[in-house]
Order: sequence, then C-alpha cells, then structure tokens
Amino acid sequence: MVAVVSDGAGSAKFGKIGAKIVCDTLCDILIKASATDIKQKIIDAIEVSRQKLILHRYNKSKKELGIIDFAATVVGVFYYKNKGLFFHIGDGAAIAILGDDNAVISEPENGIFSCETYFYTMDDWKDSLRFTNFEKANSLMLMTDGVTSFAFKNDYEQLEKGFVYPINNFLHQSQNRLKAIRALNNTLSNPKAQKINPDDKTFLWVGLK
Amino acid sequence: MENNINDEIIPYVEFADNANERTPCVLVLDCSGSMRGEPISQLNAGLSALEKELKEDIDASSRVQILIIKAYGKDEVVVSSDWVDAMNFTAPTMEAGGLTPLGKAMELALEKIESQKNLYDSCGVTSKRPWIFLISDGEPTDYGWEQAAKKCQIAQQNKKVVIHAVGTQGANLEKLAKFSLNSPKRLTGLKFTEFFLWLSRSVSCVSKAAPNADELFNNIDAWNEEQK
Repeated sequence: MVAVVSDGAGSAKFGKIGAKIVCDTLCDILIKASATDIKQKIIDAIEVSRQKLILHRYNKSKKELGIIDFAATVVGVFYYKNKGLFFHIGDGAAIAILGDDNAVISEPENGIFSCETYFYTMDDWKDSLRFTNFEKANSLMLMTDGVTSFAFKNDYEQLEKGFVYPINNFLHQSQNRLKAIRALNNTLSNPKAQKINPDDKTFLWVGLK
Repeated sequence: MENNINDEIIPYVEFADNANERTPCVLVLDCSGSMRGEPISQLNAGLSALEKELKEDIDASSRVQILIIKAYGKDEVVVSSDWVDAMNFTAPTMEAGGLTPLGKAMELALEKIESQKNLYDSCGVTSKRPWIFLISDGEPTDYGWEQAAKKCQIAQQNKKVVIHAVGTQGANLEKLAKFSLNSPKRLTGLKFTEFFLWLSRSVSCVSKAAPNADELFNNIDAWNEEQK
C-alpha cells in the first residue's frame, strides 16, 4: 500500500501543482515497486517529480531554479506485509497506531520559525528527507500542517489523544464509507477548528486491521 | 434523520489550541518634529484603534506580541512599549520632536527581535517570523543609517524578519526602501487609523496561519496611495 499527502507552500505560485505532481508520481511509481531497497526507490521517485517540474509548462526557465515556484511538502507511507516506512519532507505528520497508547510518529519539521518548513523542490531536499520504520500497524494517518496542531501537543512529540483516538475509533467502526468521509469532513471543517487554524486541511486515514 | 445527515460529526473529538505560539510585531515610529500637530495626533488615534482591535480578537490577543520603538530627539531611540501580548497592550501616547534616527531605531528593533527569539526558545515557545513596520513622514537623518538599512535587508534575506516601510506624504520612499526587500507603501493622507486596522487584521491572520503575504497586501486600498 502506498499513500502520499502534500501541501503546496502558501508563498509558491504553483504550490498546488507541485503537491499534485509529487503525490501522483510517488503513488504511480511506488505502487509497482517491490519492498527491496525501497528507500532508494522513494528518492528516485521524488527525483522524477522534480524532473517533471523542470519540464512543466509553467516553469518558464526550464531549469531547476524555476521549480521553487512549485514548492510543496511530502508526507507518505509504503506498507507491505506488516512492515511500514514513512517518508517525510517538511511539516505535516504521519502516525502509525499500533495499539492503545502505542503509536509511531513522523513529526513535522519546521525551521527556526513555525511558519517555515522544507520542500522537495529545495536544492538540499535529500537532507530534509526523513524515514521512519514501523511494524504491524492497526491504522495509519497522514496529515498536512492544518491538522497537526490538533493532532499533537505543543512539542509535536506527543499525540493529542483527545483528537487522534476518537477519530481513529470512529473510522475503524464505521460501516458506511461515505458517511464516515462526510463526518470526518464536517469535523475538520467545524467552526471551532477553523477558528483555531483556518489553514487547508488534508487528512488521510487507512484502516489496516 | 436525513435532515441531519450533513451535520454529522465524529463525536468526542477535542480541538486543542496552541495558545503558546507567538507572532511578534514591531512598530518603528518616526516621531520627529515634522510629526507635530495633526500627524502625531492621528498616529496616536491609530495606535488606540490597534489596541482596541487586537484586544477584541480573542485569538490574536493571546498570540500577537507588540513592541513599539520611537525615533526622535537628538538621535534618540527608545522602546515606548516593550514586548507584551496584545491582550495586555496599552497604546502609548507618542509625542513629536527632533530628528529622525531611523537607522538606530531599526537596529534596536533587530536586537529586540533576536533577544525575544532567544527567550521564546528558552521557554519552548514557538513563534512566527517577526514583522517590522517602519513608519515615517520623512527620511533617516542619523549617521550610518545606510549600514543599518543593509543589516535590515540581510536579516530579511536570511528570513529572520519581514520588514515593511510605510511613508506618509513627504516621506522619502527611495530612502525608506533601503530598509526592506519589499517596496515601500505610501499612506494616503494621515490614514493611520485605517492602516492600523488593516495591520491588526493582517497580523491576526498571520498568527493563525501562514498566508501568502501578497494576498494580505492586495487589500490595502483603505490606507494606501497607489504609486504611479
């Protein structure tokens, strides 16, 4: 299983395009990939995404310099035979829930200010690419930074259980997929959430068991 | 029932607010002699409006921190209002007189920002990139202001700060422009209140998310005289 979420930088003219390209490219390539040497395959797939940006019709320069206009973060997972790997550039977060009170986290990474982060379009993007291994997850969550402030405590090292577990439990128990999606959408877009953080919110949940 | 289907939400979900994060905002104010009379009066009215607006915004009042630096006198620079959460901010009453040591004032702003960042780090408080608004009706008169302006540009280039210069009628925008990587704006007349209302809304917006700065500056017609 492969899943990727991405958030275009607010300051990037074509951030949305950069986000879509990296999601589509990584999913297309990695879904066909074997688990052998998967980290290198992820790196190669991101490199393919960057090449697409160089050639994109909105990149007038057709040079690497121009891809900064497509800046976007990357939060993804590759999961095969009960073994998982998060790959992550920038803010946003990934959570593998292994059981009650037991989770593996790939935390957001910000610069010296909370409004700064890293993107796959940067020259030194490989230095910002982080991998996190885990096994035997019950469910997975990938999210962009509009949601991380709810899912984590201030230090971003501990989960806000009051947010993560009710959502996880509800989605696990839900029999009706459309109803679950609607409830999730309504929950994340409710006035209280919007008031605290009006940022775009992308949230992906996968039930594995 | 079907008529509630669109309202269904996931029960028991809690939304914690990261009330610790701060958005620092510095005002560097030219209070030289030429600001005497109506200009300083309008500036003070604007500062009062800023105080009121920020305090009425429940979220901004706890997230935004304000620092005010005054440039005046014989090359004098003082902190008129030290770092304070917007909920505790009391607009100082500014008086005008003397010269315009904007170079010194901006250097002080950079120092205060750095020391505040160190304080945030030591307390585990996250923060957004600080804003500095330099507001003047003239031009810098202190010796070495160009070096100070260069320091400001370097700080902005290194993403330590965002600097905007705003000049009233008669301000030398060409010189004010040297303090920032952004082009300066011209205040229409003495529309300080309109400017500070825009500032309070903008900084409140920034304190919650990281909007595209261009979008914030698309909505400045209430106070900005467009440059031809």
